[in-house]
Amino acid sequence: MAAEPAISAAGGTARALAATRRTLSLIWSSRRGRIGLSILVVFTLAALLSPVLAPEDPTRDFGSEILAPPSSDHLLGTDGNGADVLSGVLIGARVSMAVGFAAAIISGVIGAFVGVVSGYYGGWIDRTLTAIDDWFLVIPFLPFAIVVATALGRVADDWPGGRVTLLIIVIGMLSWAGTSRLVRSQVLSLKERQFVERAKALGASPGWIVRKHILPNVMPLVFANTVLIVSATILAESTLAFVGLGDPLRPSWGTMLEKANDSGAVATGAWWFFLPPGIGIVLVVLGFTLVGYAIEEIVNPRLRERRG
Amino acid sequence: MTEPILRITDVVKHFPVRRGIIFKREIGRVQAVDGVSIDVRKGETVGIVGESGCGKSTLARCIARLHDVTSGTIEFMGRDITNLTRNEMRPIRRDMQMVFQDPYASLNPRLRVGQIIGEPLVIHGRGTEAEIKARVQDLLDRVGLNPEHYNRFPHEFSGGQRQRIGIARALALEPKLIVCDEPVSALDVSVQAQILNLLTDLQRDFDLTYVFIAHDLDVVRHVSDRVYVMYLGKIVEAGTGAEIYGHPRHPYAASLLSAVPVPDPVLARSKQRIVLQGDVPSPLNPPSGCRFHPRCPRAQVLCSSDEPQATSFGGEHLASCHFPVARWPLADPADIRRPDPAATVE
Repeated sequence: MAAEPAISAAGGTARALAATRRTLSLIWSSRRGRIGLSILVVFTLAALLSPVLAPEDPTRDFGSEILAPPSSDHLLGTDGNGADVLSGVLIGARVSMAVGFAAAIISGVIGAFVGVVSGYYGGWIDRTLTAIDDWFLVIPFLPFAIVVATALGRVADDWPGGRVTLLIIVIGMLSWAGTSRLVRSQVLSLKERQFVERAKALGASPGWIVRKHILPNVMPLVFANTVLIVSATILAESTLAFVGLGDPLRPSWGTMLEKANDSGAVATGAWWFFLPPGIGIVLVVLGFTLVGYAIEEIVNPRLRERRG
Repeated sequence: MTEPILRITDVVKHFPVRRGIIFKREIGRVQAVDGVSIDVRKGETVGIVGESGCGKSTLARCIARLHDVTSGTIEFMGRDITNLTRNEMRPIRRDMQMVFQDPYASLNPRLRVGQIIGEPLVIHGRGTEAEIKARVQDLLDRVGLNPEHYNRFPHEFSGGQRQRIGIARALALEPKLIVCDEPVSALDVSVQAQILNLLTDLQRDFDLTYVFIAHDLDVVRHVSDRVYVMYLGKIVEAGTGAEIYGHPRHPYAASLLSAVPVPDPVLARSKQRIVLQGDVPSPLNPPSGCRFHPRCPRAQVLCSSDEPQATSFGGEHLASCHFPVARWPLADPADIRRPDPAATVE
């Protein structure tokens, strides 16, 4: 028998590991999940190992040949500056995925917090938070993000991580509204459940009830939703980078597309420059979406039944 | 007579019904509990019976202070707990626990049995991890579950086993009073008996007092020393089990009892039944006078205007009726009809 998983921290970690393993095997059991997970594993490995795998530094090593087609020297040709496109794609994967992940985590944390507080406490707290939530839901994402990222661009250059950090914060701050709405509705239903009433009858404080009874029951939902949001945040990062708000020192796939566009790669038919980052974006977004749906199916039993 | 451990006096619980988006105005009140007084003495079991929607569960929640009462007082162990804050209630909750109706919904599916039963101990800071674990295993054993099942999840148990978990949890803090809100209604008949016997054994062993809420007359009779019959937020009849089941005085109580099936076909054929028409009226707009009058076969003009006061029928037997049932068992239709057919309410 496992020792006191009820309270001990070691038991908690072991349990979390077991839960992760169980979730992964459940995702793997659906076809979508299998495809999505495979794509993500390949790209995550590529991104993590990019400093080792990339033959050259795309921000420094500029060769003499610009827009050269794929050859044995440059497997994916060179870009408008004569840098190696393959290296760019590998390094870009790291930036794109890091921004996507970090922004989605910020959005998940804010969304879960706002949703739980607003749903559990109700009253004027709920009304205020819902109003803020509404505001974030209706503001047009792109113009707002462009304005904020432009206004703070100079300041962000001095931050650790530079403009990439700025993009993470801007995108994260702008994408939690849907999550909090979802969590709030779930909490509204959970707090009326008998086990919550029972905890109140035991004399539990609201903090205890939220920690022990509400959060564990909304976390799977937040998790599934956050994985789906990663697709959106990666796309958002690419968009902002494409309009020139990326960090030139830390080029992402969006930055590459911007450069490809600027150097006339599309017009001259230099497909090796714009196709690889474009395909990268599409595949990673697809991967996160597939895995997100697979998790959603696990979390939401109604969807599982529909599958048969 | 022993001092009551729980004394409820004129408890009223109205739920306001509001309409409007910004300026909410009250458009009515659901009068769920309307002036209920109950005494519970130490060591006894008090049953509360009534149809769905008569306010039994609301009353239970008022006792456990899960609802704030609209008016009236609740005294527990000699202390007025009606207006205590959540923090002031905490020490009192050790002595008053609840067992809930639905053994599926009342257990958090994401917690293990050990965590569920140990939760009250952790909340009230009783002992170290190891002590709590030992106590939980002792409790599991006490309610007839295997202490080895400490690490299982609720979904691995049957309905009856889940209710045992609920009972173990209620026992964890060694309470004096347990409010059981329909503890066996969701269970199969055979399992009901086991749970009822368990409750009786625990009462003997731990010197417990129960407030037992149910809609099943036989269940209440089986466990209760005294019984209160509720209708639409009010107590209509009260007494010992023998008094009420031996000769119900209120036509509502009589109608409930006459509906209980008799296993003897000869007796069943000769039996007279009071068959009630219609549904329980809305507690949003309860009938005037005696709340039972629109459905009562004995109602007269008086019943729709004057609310009957509780009248004694000897011993502890009280009923609130202008025209109580005179003869029991009901032998012929005249026992049911209103005493004077000329004075009709229409």
